[in-house]
Amino acid sequence: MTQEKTRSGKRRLLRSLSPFTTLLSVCLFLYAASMVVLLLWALFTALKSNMEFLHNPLWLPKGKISNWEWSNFQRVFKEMYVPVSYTSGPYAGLSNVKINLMGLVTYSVLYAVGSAFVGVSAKCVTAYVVSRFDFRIGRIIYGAVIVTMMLPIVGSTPSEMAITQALGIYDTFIGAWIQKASFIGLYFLIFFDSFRFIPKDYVEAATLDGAGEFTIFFRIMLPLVKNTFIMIFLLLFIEYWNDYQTPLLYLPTHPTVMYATQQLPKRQESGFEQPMRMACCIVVAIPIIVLFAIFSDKIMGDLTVGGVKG
Amino acid sequence: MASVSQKKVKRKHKTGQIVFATVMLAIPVLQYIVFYIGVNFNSVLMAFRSYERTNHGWASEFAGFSNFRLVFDNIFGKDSVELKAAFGNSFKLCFYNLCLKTPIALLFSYYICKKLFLHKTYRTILFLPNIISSVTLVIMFMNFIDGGLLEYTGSGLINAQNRPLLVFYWIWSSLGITVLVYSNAMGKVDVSIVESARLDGAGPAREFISIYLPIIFPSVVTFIVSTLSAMFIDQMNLFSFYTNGANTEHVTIGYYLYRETQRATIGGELDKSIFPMLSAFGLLLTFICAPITLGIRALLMKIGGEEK
Repeated sequence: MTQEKTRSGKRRLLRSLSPFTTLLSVCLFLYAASMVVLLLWALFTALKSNMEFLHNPLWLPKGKISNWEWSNFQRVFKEMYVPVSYTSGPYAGLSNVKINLMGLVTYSVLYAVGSAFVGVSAKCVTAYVVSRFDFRIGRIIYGAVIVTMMLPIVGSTPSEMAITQALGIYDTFIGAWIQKASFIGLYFLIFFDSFRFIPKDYVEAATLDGAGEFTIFFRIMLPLVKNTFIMIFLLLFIEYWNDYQTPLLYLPTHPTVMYATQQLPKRQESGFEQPMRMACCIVVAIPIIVLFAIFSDKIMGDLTVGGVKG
Repeated sequence: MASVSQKKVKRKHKTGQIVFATVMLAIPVLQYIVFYIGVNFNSVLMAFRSYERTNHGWASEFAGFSNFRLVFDNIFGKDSVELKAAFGNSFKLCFYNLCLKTPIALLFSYYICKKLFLHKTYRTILFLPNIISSVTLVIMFMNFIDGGLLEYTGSGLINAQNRPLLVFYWIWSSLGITVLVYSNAMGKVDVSIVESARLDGAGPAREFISIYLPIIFPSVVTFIVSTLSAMFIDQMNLFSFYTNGANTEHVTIGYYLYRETQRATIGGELDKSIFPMLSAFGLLLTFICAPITLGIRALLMKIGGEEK
């Protein structure tokens, strides 16, 4: 049985070998190698002293593994910070207040988890109502999603900033979460399809048993789309964890980890050269890489847009 | 009697549905009204106003078309360099996207969809730049080229803002999601079609061009449309590389808009004086971009036929 499998695998491999696929294989190998080399270089650089980096910028750190500069990672926890100046609120007047790594991580978690949760919840509940009930507002919402996705609107950020300030939610997490509580986008359509293809028998049986609409949604329908909910939550969490441009505009006194990473090239003080910068990059990338390693199948699942021709 | 009670139950049921829908939709709909309709409406209003700082905060007044004149001066004026370059760069970027990135992504997707040697590893590695933050990857790349490879390259290529290298990085780091979507779409192609083509003597290259490409055409159209609609949003990672200091000749419209908006936040308090000009510029860009995107979408869908 195993021999047969090996033989058929070999046959498949030989059949698919052609100059075309070989060329593709070489290109993909070079691409993958460039990515792996970059990540390994960053890791090894993080384990060098500044002096060693000057003499040996490209290759493995010299000496025994235990003698490599593991202390760079310890230093990240002590020395990674963002200075913040407050012009309003309870801290008004304070300038150059250092937000350390713990503070940065706290702000990142609040921003990423909160935004991802409200984002996925808004899309999920809206898609459920639109797919389940034949109300006019449902049809309007579906049309709005399609039109908004097709119509490119450029340069509305200044207006959005002015509005958040007028509403008193500028530079607050509540404000950032409200901004992300939008049902617009591809994920709405994914939820819409998920709910549409759930057999109506579930709802009918629950209704006969006297279940109300809230019970049907929270106890029956939501558990049925649990996997989709988790997948979209993870994708949004990764997106917001990695996002530094939105916090830079809307949360200037609540810097996140990625905001601090973006400031790294500006830190020219002695002792904060390439090895320390790479150590910072590795430390901030690790949580996301671990998350990806655990949920890679869910994250890279069956994502398709546009369909295929029949 | 029974029908009266049935009617009552039905009415109660309908009321329950209306209450449920109202409660569930209240926040998302309100958010849409304020942060989509309200924001865009306010953006149009701002394009015709000017802001001035007073002792009591910011005061605004009607400014007619002066913001639009300012935009046109910045684009077509004798001394204008940046916005002219930005337009050119954004169009070039869109061209690179369609003529370089899309074909590369399609070819890589074919390899992955055919489950050839190491396809799973390549798929994961291609997706990594979508997982690792763009700013982290930019810093690693920048330090690798200008620090690690310096003795081989002979100069700080990133510091010198080497354009081909910036374009290379932009393509290299953004293939993942496109490859994932295309390979998933290719995976849905009917195996019997591919097998019968094989029996007729079609090789992999023929199979890719004559079977896979036409069948996944709707997915390609979706990506072309999203590329066109993001034409004036794409920053080519310039803000991650250089913050506010990208060379004028490399600036894209997306980078320009973000950089100028971000400048308004420097100093702790929002500086609204630049907002009207940016809103006017955004409005003009929408008028350029929307018909192009919708027109090309309609054209491509006409050529490509129906999807399933």
